[in-house]
Amino acid sequence: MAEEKKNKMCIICSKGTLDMAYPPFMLATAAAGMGWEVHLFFTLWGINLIKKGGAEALKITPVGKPEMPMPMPNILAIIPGMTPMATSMMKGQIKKSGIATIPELLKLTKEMGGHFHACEPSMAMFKLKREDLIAEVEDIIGVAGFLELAADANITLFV
Amino acid sequence: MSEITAALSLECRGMHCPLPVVQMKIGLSRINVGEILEIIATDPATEKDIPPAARALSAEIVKQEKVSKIWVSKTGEKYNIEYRYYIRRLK
Repeated sequence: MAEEKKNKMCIICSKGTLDMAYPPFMLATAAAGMGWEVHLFFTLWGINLIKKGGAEALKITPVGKPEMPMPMPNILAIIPGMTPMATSMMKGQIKKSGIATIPELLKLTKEMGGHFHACEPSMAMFKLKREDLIAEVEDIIGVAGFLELAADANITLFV
Repeated sequence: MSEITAALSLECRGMHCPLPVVQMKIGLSRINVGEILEIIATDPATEKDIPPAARALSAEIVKQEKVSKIWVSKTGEKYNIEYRYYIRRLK
Protein backbone atom coordinates (compact mmCIF):
# COMPACT_ATOMS: atom_id res chain seq x y z
CA MET A 1 0.00 0.00 0.00
CA ALA A 2 1.24 3.47 -0.84
CA GLU A 3 2.56 5.48 2.08
CA GLU A 4 0.06 8.11 3.17
CA LYS A 5 1.25 11.60 2.27
CA LYS A 6 2.44 13.49 5.33
CA ASN A 7 1.10 16.94 6.09
CA LYS A 8 3.64 19.61 5.31
CA MET A 9 4.19 23.09 6.73
CA CYS A 10 6.57 25.79 5.51
CA ILE A 11 7.27 28.94 7.51
CA ILE A 12 9.17 32.03 6.44
CA CYS A 13 10.91 33.34 9.58
CA SER A 14 11.71 37.00 9.00
CA LYS A 15 12.04 38.32 12.56
CA GLY A 16 14.99 38.02 14.90
CA THR A 17 13.72 39.08 18.31
CA LEU A 18 12.96 36.98 21.37
CA ASP A 19 9.20 37.57 21.14
CA MET A 20 8.82 36.97 17.42
CA ALA A 21 10.98 33.85 17.48
CA TYR A 22 8.20 32.08 19.37
CA PRO A 23 5.42 31.76 16.77
CA PRO A 24 7.49 29.91 14.14
CA PHE A 25 9.29 27.66 16.61
CA MET A 26 6.11 26.82 18.57
CA LEU A 27 4.32 25.88 15.35
CA ALA A 28 7.31 23.99 14.02
CA THR A 29 7.79 21.97 17.20
CA ALA A 30 4.11 21.05 17.42
CA ALA A 31 3.88 20.12 13.74
CA ALA A 32 7.06 18.04 13.87
CA GLY A 33 5.66 16.44 17.03
CA MET A 34 2.60 15.41 15.03
CA GLY A 35 4.84 13.79 12.48
CA TRP A 36 4.46 16.55 9.89
CA GLU A 37 7.15 17.54 7.44
CA VAL A 38 8.34 20.98 8.56
CA HIS A 39 10.51 23.51 6.75
CA LEU A 40 11.69 26.80 8.25
CA PHE A 41 13.10 29.35 5.84
CA PHE A 42 15.15 31.98 7.68
CA THR A 43 15.31 35.29 5.91
CA LEU A 44 16.19 38.89 6.80
CA TRP A 45 16.36 39.34 10.60
CA GLY A 46 15.26 35.74 10.97
CA ILE A 47 18.84 34.78 10.09
CA ASN A 48 19.63 35.94 13.61
CA LEU A 49 17.89 32.81 14.95
CA ILE A 50 20.26 30.42 13.19
CA LYS A 51 23.53 32.28 13.61
CA LYS A 52 25.94 30.55 15.99
CA GLY A 53 24.95 31.72 19.48
CA GLY A 54 22.03 33.67 18.01
CA ALA A 55 19.13 31.75 19.56
CA GLU A 56 20.71 32.07 23.01
CA ALA A 57 21.25 35.82 22.68
CA LEU A 58 17.83 36.96 21.43
CA LYS A 59 16.53 40.24 22.80
CA ILE A 60 13.29 42.14 23.05
CA THR A 61 13.07 45.90 23.10
CA PRO A 62 10.37 47.94 24.86
CA VAL A 63 10.61 50.62 22.14
CA GLY A 64 7.35 50.95 20.24
CA LYS A 65 5.67 48.17 22.26
CA PRO A 66 2.66 49.66 24.03
CA GLU A 67 1.29 46.12 24.45
CA MET A 68 4.01 45.07 26.93
CA PRO A 69 2.85 44.17 30.46
CA MET A 70 4.65 47.25 31.82
CA PRO A 71 4.36 49.73 28.95
CA MET A 72 6.75 52.63 29.08
CA PRO A 73 6.91 55.82 27.03
CA ASN A 74 9.25 55.45 24.05
CA ILE A 75 11.33 58.33 25.33
CA LEU A 76 12.25 56.17 28.35
CA ALA A 77 12.39 52.90 26.43
CA ILE A 78 15.30 54.18 24.35
CA ILE A 79 17.51 54.70 27.42
CA PRO A 80 20.51 52.32 27.44
CA GLY A 81 19.79 49.32 29.61
CA MET A 82 16.07 49.15 28.85
CA THR A 83 16.42 46.43 26.19
CA PRO A 84 18.50 44.16 28.46
CA MET A 85 16.00 44.80 31.23
CA ALA A 86 12.98 43.91 29.10
CA THR A 87 14.87 40.85 27.80
CA SER A 88 15.71 39.58 31.25
CA MET A 89 12.13 40.16 32.41
CA MET A 90 10.76 38.16 29.50
CA LYS A 91 13.30 35.37 30.01
CA GLY A 92 12.44 35.28 33.71
CA GLN A 93 8.75 34.97 32.91
CA ILE A 94 9.39 32.21 30.37
CA LYS A 95 11.39 30.26 32.93
CA LYS A 96 8.88 30.77 35.72
CA SER A 97 5.89 29.74 33.67
CA GLY A 98 7.58 26.58 32.37
CA ILE A 99 7.44 27.57 28.70
CA ALA A 100 10.19 26.12 26.52
CA THR A 101 13.05 28.42 25.57
CA ILE A 102 13.91 29.19 21.93
CA PRO A 103 17.13 27.10 21.99
CA GLU A 104 15.07 24.19 23.39
CA LEU A 105 12.38 24.52 20.72
CA LEU A 106 15.01 24.80 18.00
CA LYS A 107 16.69 21.61 19.21
CA LEU A 108 13.37 19.75 19.51
CA THR A 109 12.24 20.77 16.02
CA LYS A 110 15.49 19.48 14.58
CA GLU A 111 15.46 16.26 16.62
CA MET A 112 11.98 15.49 15.33
CA GLY A 113 13.07 15.89 11.74
CA GLY A 114 12.40 19.56 11.00
CA HIS A 115 14.37 21.19 8.17
CA PHE A 116 16.15 24.54 8.47
CA HIS A 117 17.03 26.58 5.40
CA ALA A 118 18.93 29.86 5.25
CA CYS A 119 18.02 32.53 2.70
CA GLU A 120 20.88 33.15 0.28
CA PRO A 121 20.40 36.91 -0.38
CA SER A 122 20.03 37.55 3.36
CA MET A 123 23.32 35.76 3.95
CA ALA A 124 24.95 37.99 1.36
CA MET A 125 23.39 41.14 2.81
CA PHE A 126 24.65 40.37 6.31
CA LYS A 127 27.99 39.09 4.95
CA LEU A 128 27.52 35.69 6.54
CA LYS A 129 29.17 32.43 5.56
CA ARG A 130 28.01 28.85 6.09
CA GLU A 131 30.34 28.52 9.06
CA ASP A 132 28.63 31.44 10.79
CA LEU A 133 25.43 29.39 10.98
CA ILE A 134 24.57 26.59 13.38
CA ALA A 135 25.11 23.03 12.17
CA GLU A 136 21.35 22.34 12.23
CA VAL A 137 20.91 24.44 9.08
CA GLU A 138 20.55 22.04 6.19
CA ASP A 139 21.28 24.30 3.26
CA ILE A 140 21.35 27.81 1.88
CA ILE A 141 18.58 28.28 -0.65
CA GLY A 142 17.05 31.04 -2.70
CA VAL A 143 13.45 32.03 -3.12
CA ALA A 144 12.90 29.57 -5.94
CA GLY A 145 14.11 26.80 -3.69
CA PHE A 146 11.66 27.84 -1.01
CA LEU A 147 8.77 28.11 -3.48
CA GLU A 148 9.55 24.60 -4.66
CA LEU A 149 9.32 23.38 -1.05
CA ALA A 150 6.12 25.32 -0.38
CA ALA A 151 4.35 24.45 -3.63
CA ASP A 152 2.81 21.29 -2.21
CA ALA A 153 2.66 22.35 1.47
CA ASN A 154 -0.66 22.21 3.31
CA ILE A 155 0.24 25.29 5.33
CA THR A 156 2.62 28.11 4.46
CA LEU A 157 3.10 31.01 6.82
CA PHE A 158 5.04 34.24 6.95
CA VAL A 159 6.21 35.38 10.38
CA MET B 1 -13.74 -4.18 34.55
CA SER B 2 -10.14 -4.33 33.47
CA GLU B 3 -7.80 -1.53 34.41
CA ILE B 4 -5.69 0.14 31.76
CA THR B 5 -2.05 -0.82 32.10
CA ALA B 6 0.35 1.71 30.65
CA ALA B 7 3.69 0.51 29.35
CA LEU B 8 5.11 3.98 29.97
CA SER B 9 3.92 6.99 31.92
CA LEU B 10 5.09 10.50 31.10
CA GLU B 11 5.00 13.31 33.59
CA CYS B 12 4.06 16.43 31.63
CA ARG B 13 2.75 18.50 34.52
CA GLY B 14 3.87 22.12 34.35
CA MET B 15 4.65 21.81 30.64
CA HIS B 16 2.97 24.08 28.16
CA CYS B 17 2.13 23.76 24.49
CA PRO B 18 3.80 22.34 22.42
CA LEU B 19 5.85 20.24 24.85
CA PRO B 20 3.18 17.66 25.80
CA VAL B 21 2.74 16.83 22.09
CA VAL B 22 6.49 16.45 21.71
CA GLN B 23 6.59 14.19 24.76
CA MET B 24 3.78 12.10 23.31
CA LYS B 25 5.74 11.58 20.09
CA ILE B 26 8.86 10.57 22.02
CA GLY B 27 6.80 8.35 24.34
CA LEU B 28 5.05 6.54 21.47
CA SER B 29 8.42 5.78 19.91
CA ARG B 30 9.50 4.13 23.16
CA ILE B 31 6.62 1.68 23.44
CA ASN B 32 5.64 -1.23 21.21
CA VAL B 33 2.66 -1.35 18.85
CA GLY B 34 -0.46 -2.16 20.87
CA GLU B 35 0.96 -0.85 24.13
CA ILE B 36 -0.42 2.11 26.01
CA LEU B 37 1.25 5.40 26.89
CA GLU B 38 0.02 7.42 29.84
CA ILE B 39 0.39 11.20 29.81
CA ILE B 40 -0.26 13.31 32.87
CA ALA B 41 -0.53 17.02 32.14
CA THR B 42 -1.73 20.29 33.60
CA ASP B 43 -1.94 22.25 30.34
CA PRO B 44 -5.66 22.71 29.50
CA ALA B 45 -4.78 23.07 25.81
CA THR B 46 -3.87 19.37 25.76
CA GLU B 47 -7.61 18.61 25.59
CA LYS B 48 -7.62 20.01 22.08
CA ASP B 49 -3.99 19.24 21.17
CA ILE B 50 -3.46 15.63 22.23
CA PRO B 51 -6.37 13.92 20.35
CA PRO B 52 -5.53 15.27 16.85
CA ALA B 53 -1.80 14.85 17.46
CA ALA B 54 -2.39 11.25 18.54
CA ARG B 55 -4.38 10.58 15.36
CA ALA B 56 -1.64 12.14 13.26
CA LEU B 57 0.87 9.83 14.95
CA SER B 58 -1.22 6.69 14.27
CA ALA B 59 -2.30 6.28 17.86
CA GLU B 60 -5.69 6.21 19.55
CA ILE B 61 -6.95 7.68 22.78
CA VAL B 62 -8.22 4.77 24.86
CA LYS B 63 -9.25 6.89 27.79
CA GLN B 64 -9.10 10.54 28.71
CA GLU B 65 -9.89 12.08 32.06
CA LYS B 66 -9.86 15.39 33.83
CA VAL B 67 -9.62 15.43 37.60
CA SER B 68 -9.55 18.18 40.22
CA LYS B 69 -6.14 17.99 41.80
CA ILE B 70 -3.85 20.71 43.04
CA TRP B 71 -0.29 20.63 41.82
CA VAL B 72 2.41 23.25 42.29
CA SER B 73 5.44 23.47 40.01
CA LYS B 74 8.99 24.02 41.26
CA THR B 75 8.68 27.66 40.29
CA GLY B 76 5.48 28.05 42.28
CA GLU B 77 2.88 27.95 39.49
CA LYS B 78 -0.30 26.43 40.81
CA TYR B 79 -2.58 24.18 38.77
CA ASN B 80 -6.02 22.92 39.85
CA ILE B 81 -6.81 20.37 37.18
CA GLU B 82 -4.93 17.31 36.05
CA TYR B 83 -5.47 15.85 32.59
CA ARG B 84 -4.72 12.18 31.99
CA TYR B 85 -4.50 10.52 28.61
CA TYR B 86 -4.11 6.85 27.78
CA ILE B 87 -2.91 6.45 24.23
CA ARG B 88 -2.46 3.19 22.33
CA ARG B 89 0.18 2.97 19.64
CA LEU B 90 -1.50 1.53 16.53
CA LYS B 91 1.48 1.15 14.22
